[in-house]
Amino acid sequence: MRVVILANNIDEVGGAQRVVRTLAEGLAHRHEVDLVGITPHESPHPYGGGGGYGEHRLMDQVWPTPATGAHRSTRRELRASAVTHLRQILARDRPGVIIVAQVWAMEILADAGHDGWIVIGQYHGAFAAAASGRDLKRILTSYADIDLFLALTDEDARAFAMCGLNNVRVMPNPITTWPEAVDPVSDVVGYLGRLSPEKGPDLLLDAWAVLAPDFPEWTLRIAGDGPLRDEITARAATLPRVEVVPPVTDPSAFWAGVGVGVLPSRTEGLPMALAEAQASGIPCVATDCSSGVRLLCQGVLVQPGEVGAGLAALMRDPALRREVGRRGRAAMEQYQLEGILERWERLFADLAR
Amino acid sequence: MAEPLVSVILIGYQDEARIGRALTSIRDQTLSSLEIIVVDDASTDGTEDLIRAAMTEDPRIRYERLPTNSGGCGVPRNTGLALARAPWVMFCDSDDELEIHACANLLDAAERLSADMVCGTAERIDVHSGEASRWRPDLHEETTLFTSFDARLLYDTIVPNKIFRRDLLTRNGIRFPEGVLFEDQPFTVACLLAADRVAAIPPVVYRWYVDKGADEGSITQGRAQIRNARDRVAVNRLIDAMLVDRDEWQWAKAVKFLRHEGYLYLSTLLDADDESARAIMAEFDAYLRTVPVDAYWQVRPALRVALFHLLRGDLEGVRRAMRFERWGAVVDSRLVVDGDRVLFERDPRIEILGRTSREWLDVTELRLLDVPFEMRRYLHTLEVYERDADQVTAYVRTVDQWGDLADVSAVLAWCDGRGHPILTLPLESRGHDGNSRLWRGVGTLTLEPHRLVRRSDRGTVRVLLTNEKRVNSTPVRTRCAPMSFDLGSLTRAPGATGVCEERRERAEVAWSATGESRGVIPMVRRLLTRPQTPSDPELPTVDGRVFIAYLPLSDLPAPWRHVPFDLDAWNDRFGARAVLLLGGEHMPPVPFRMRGWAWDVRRMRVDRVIAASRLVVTDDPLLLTAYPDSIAYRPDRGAARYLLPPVPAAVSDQRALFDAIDARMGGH
Repeated sequence: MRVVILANNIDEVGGAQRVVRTLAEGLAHRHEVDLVGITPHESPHPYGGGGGYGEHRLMDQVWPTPATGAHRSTRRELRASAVTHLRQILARDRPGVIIVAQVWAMEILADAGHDGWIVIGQYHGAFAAAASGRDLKRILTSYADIDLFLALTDEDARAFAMCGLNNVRVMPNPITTWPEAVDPVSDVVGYLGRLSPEKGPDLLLDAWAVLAPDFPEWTLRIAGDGPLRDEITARAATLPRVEVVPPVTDPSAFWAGVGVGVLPSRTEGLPMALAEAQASGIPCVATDCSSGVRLLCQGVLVQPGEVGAGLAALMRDPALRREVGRRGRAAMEQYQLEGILERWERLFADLAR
Repeated sequence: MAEPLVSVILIGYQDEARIGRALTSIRDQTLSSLEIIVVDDASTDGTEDLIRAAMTEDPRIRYERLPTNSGGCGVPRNTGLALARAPWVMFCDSDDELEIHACANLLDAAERLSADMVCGTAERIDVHSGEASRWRPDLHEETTLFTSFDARLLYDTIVPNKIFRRDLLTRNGIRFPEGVLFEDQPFTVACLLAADRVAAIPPVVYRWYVDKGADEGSITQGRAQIRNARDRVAVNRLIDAMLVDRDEWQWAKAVKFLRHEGYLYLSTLLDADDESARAIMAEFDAYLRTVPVDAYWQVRPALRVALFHLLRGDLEGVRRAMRFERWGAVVDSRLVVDGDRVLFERDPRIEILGRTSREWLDVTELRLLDVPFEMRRYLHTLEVYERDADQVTAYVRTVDQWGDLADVSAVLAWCDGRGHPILTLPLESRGHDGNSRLWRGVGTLTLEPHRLVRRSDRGTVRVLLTNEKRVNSTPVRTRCAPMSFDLGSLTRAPGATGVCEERRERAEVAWSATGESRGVIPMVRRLLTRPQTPSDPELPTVDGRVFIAYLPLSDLPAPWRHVPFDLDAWNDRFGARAVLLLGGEHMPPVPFRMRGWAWDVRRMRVDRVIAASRLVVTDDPLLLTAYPDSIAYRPDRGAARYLLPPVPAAVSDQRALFDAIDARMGGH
């Protein structure tokens, strides 16, 4: 069967991109898969080809956001060309399934038309995030009549349904590679994620400023890149024992040297970084900011700004770390790629009915 | 083609205008593995051609035509069932529609929950206004799996919002009864009894188009109503026969019969002519006597009064009580105080089904005597309306429910949609007649120009009663000839017209600012565009009770917009001590029957409400900051929390809320 996976962009470093690539690669074993990004990215991450799927970018230049001052007509033309390009890709062979990862991509697809295709929509943020911005309204418009809308958690599915969507089911994201188990003995607190406001690295540094004197043998290691990089680096230099390292290509290697993981986010969907850390057996502290976090987190769940207390509880007690880590790894097994791909296959079978 | 998963049985008779829409809604289902069985109850219109044309495009359609018209839904549905081959069965009527994901959602739930039968939400759509409302929302709030008896299931017995395992039907020999109306009910109950697992799911699956205006009292309609009543009783006897030895079900069904069918049929007695009405009463009487008497105390008080009158054969008594039920708590009787109880009307001191009439007539819990003058719902009847040029003559009769209308002044007013008078006519008292005050008005109508209609609007004819400074404004309930006014001739303001017509149960006025299209003279435009003063009513005062305000954040999707505690439980606990003021801009209106203890303050200025209140309950962070004495109440309603700003330290369930209020009430 033909499967087209459509996302806003497929080249950035980020959770959504990792998920669609993992999915594309997984589905490519049984299907003919095309991964399509609407816009290229100015500094594409080298994901490397060879996943067994085709890659396309609909626009021939990076989409100029309104902030760039690009003229409206330029944007209109670029968008029209994307729609035309998408039509060409879809027309290449018999219709199958289109998986649409994001709202903008869904709107482009609506313009291109999808007669004969089965359309599955996803949203990689949480309901909470959608509701706090304009996404919810856009989702309610563009996702209502497609075959399926897949929310990340049961709780989000219920919420979207309450807002009026009648086609909601649940599909969690897969963990890319199932890691080796780690014994969380290193005296290192690890943060792996984008350095951007919604991920809350600043909150983590606030907490560390208070914690560090009480735990002189511990180090905080921050891996990632993003708009807050300079600010975080500068601030880290004023605090004891903080390392800021570049983004890692192999998360499991990062977690292998960590004793406690932390996700201090202000908003989240279903955070795969947390899932991967726990799959490695790392006990984690996470802020209770979405149903996805609540669902995944097997460690300590805290309110934003109370990260320090959660960290201290785990840092103080090695036996507890090991126990929480073990429990977390067991709980993450259901997000292994094989299981999730099975669920997708069952879904395809359902939809073909 | 692979074997279909779901057989959808579409039935129709003489409905070529709509059956195409229904068929399309089935063909467009996102689940495509369907068998579409169209059973035509011997239509003589273009139905057959229409279906045959569709069959050439869609091989999933099968067409079966009955040789003679069966006159009901039972025969065609059974015919469809006999033809069905798929493991699952659904139904659709020619005038309705399936929601696009209906089959997929119902089938998915059935498979996931291993259910024998799944009920989705039906949406009732008014064919005139297009307004949609969810049928039995309380049953469909969450996905629920029932593996044992639950009374709520009895309140959703329509068939087309459900999917049935065909094997359940064949194994148990379940079919629709033929030759009676309401065949849905025994069918559904039989399935509920036979099924081990029944699920209810939230999504809308069925669009049920309802024509509310269609059943107004012609003679054929009267006959139809008698047949309805007879069949309703027959169907309930069928169901009772199935429920022998099922005590819980019997009891729940008895209560449901009184609440639901009781309300439905007793309210038709308001419109029916006397002869049909008595025939309908006769159909119900014998059956009502088989209902356990305690069940009558599970229905709303005024409906119980109506049932009492039915059992004693008093048609006018039924109508008096049903006016209260159906006309939003309009009282058409003189309330009687008997010791510490309040009776709906004078006690005839008789016994019905072993209970005294004093018990039957007891409406104390409505707290009607505590309703302040401004909030009462009077029954005004416009008995005469005549117009000769500018000269108008009107006679009005008002039921003096509380017996204190001797000294009030009255004005007849034609109002806009918000109840502001546009045309008025003063009324003079003409004494009383039994329980009623009589009024007469003669003269020219006065135009209240600053209230003029800026766009087409629908308002009501009201009587404004003034007692010193207190004003009561209640719409007239009447049957009178259409009234039309040319405001131009009355006021020298051409362009605006009003037509008074009878609609539903109230005298309504349709205002049209025809000047909008024809050009209004400048002076009138100035009048029309003058800013309106915001509605800012004062709160009436109450004796011996305090106000407690509930001012929730309510900007949520519709399913979440309801008062998140039980109002009747509130009445039991606080009704004697406090009046509940219900705010929240987007909340639904408070039912009129609660006027004795809960008032709608959605349109009042919040600072006034708060100033008048002894206690404020809210989840609005701004109010909590401005009025730190408020009780923070935010029930946990799942993901609704993401749509609202967080409230620290809020009480989150009804019991804790009530306890917190009690503590604060006793604390001073």
